[in-house]
Amino acid sequence: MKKNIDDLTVQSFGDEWSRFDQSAMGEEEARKIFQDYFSVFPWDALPAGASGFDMGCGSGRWATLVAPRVGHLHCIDPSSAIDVARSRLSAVGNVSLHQASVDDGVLPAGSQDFGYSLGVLHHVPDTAQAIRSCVAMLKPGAPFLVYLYYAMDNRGAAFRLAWQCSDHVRRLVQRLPPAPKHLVTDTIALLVYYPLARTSMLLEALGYDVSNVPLSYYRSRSWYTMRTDSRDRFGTPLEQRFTRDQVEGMMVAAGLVDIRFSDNAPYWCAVGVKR
Amino acid sequence: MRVLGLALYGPLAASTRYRLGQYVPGLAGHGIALEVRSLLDDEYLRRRFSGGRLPLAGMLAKGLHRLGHLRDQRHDVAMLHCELYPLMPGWLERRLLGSTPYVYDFDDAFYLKYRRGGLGVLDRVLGGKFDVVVRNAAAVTAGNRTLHRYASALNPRSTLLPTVVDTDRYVPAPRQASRIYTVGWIGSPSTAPYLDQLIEPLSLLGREGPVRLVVVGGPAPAIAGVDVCEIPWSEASEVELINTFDVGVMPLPDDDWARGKCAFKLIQYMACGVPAIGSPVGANTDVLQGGCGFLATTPEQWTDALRRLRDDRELARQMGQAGRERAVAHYSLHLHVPILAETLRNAAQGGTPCVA
Repeated sequence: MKKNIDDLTVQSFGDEWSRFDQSAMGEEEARKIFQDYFSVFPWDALPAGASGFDMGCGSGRWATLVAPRVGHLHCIDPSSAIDVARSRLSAVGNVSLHQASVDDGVLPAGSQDFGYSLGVLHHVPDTAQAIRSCVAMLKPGAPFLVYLYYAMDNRGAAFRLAWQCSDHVRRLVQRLPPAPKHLVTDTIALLVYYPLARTSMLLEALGYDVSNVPLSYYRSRSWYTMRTDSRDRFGTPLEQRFTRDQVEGMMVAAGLVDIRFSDNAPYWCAVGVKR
Repeated sequence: MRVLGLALYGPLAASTRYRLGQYVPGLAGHGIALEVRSLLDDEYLRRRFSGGRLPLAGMLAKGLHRLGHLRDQRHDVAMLHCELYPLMPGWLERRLLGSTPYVYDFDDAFYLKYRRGGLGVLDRVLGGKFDVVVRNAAAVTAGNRTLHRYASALNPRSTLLPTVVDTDRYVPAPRQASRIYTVGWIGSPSTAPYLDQLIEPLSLLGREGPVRLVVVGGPAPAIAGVDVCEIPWSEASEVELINTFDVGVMPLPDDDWARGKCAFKLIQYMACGVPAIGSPVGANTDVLQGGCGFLATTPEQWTDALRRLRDDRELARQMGQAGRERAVAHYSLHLHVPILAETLRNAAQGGTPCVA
């Protein structure tokens, strides 16, 4: 049976997280981004000493913030980024690291109290199957948080056109070897991300609503984060985007109920509870 | 004698209430009329804390309004807290204060404001701002030893004036026996991130039995297995809320900014007879003495201190009582009104600024 994994994308992420291990991200910024992702997560519903998993942990940047809050955390990633996470989490006693893909069944079915996968499952060939694989590992009543790239379905035509243009660029950039790819994505961060983000910051300070300005999400983000996300966005071979309805449909099909979406960027971030 | 109190923020800011506002009645008893004027109102702080857009036009109007206050010649002395205007050089602030002698008051390491963090890019222009303001003050009141050391190097007329509480208002209430161990914190959104230090200790305690974290005035961290309560701050309810805590906490990072903190939370807990645990940073080490709580640095030390106060109710009671006695003896408003009154009189009489 063919594995639900794209080897080129896995290699690309291994290279990305070795270059951007997130150690340069400031604590305050990491906390804010963490809050963006986890704002809908039902922490209060978890049992004391909860055990869960981080599917596609990458460099372990979110695992470092989740692990102290729970009993045990399984960090799962198919790429060499797992070595970056291992180094980063070496002093954390309640994590286990697994170099495995989403459909390897690395944890027993029905064994986990919670799970999350942030910005990962749109990079596998069959996202719906990947969500089902994650949900299979959960106990009934356990929450699963997922962040998937949105299809601009809550944006206007101009915004969608800008994204379509950028996607043509991505299709070219992702073919480059690692070093030139890194240089190009850094250049995009410098010439596109940084000016738009800082202009948004200035406009907001002057009292304007900047929610419809492309890349305004980065207005208070660091240069390091812009470089990371430019590499993430333009350097990845396989990228899929989903509407809110599609995300909800995949979650329902995987056996999740009580689905809640975050109203704030990044879109789409949603949580559901296993039936 | 008339004193113009110049606060940066409205009474929603603890510094405005406790460094200036609460002294008004006591100073009146000493024949001193303190009139507190804020540059930015409570609406500004609400918007800043909620991430809303700042009312720029309103802020500009308030800036002009402050110029009007400064032209008012009816005051014998000014008491400047923090800074006259954000982003204004020290020499210009001094010019705007004119010939009125001023007391410079501070309870945070404001002198770092333009030397680090987001405003650090202004270091060359504004890095020395507070040095100029402090050097030219007729007197300085500093909230803790770290701040006092900084001020004394620039101005010999510096006095240590801790941030204190009215111990007639902050009083212990009878403890209600609770089945859930309640750890409490009171503060603002800007200091709430320090609570992340308690995530691991509280997570461990949560596995041993029911535990609640009450966070008053800021966003609470999420912790599995812990009952986390976020309660908006209000002046009317803060004492009542503190009296629901089994233990009050004040975690801090060990950095230059935190060393300028005045341990005010600890003083609030102690005055209510609540045992306290704090990081051994800055004024925390001065305040948490005499058996009124624990100092803790590592997650293990925090866990151990929280456990001991949970498991030994008699120890908790004794520490709470010691804290109350220490707050009354060292950190009460009654003790410090005369100190501020004398400082203001001296400033009004002999306030000849030294040369910048």
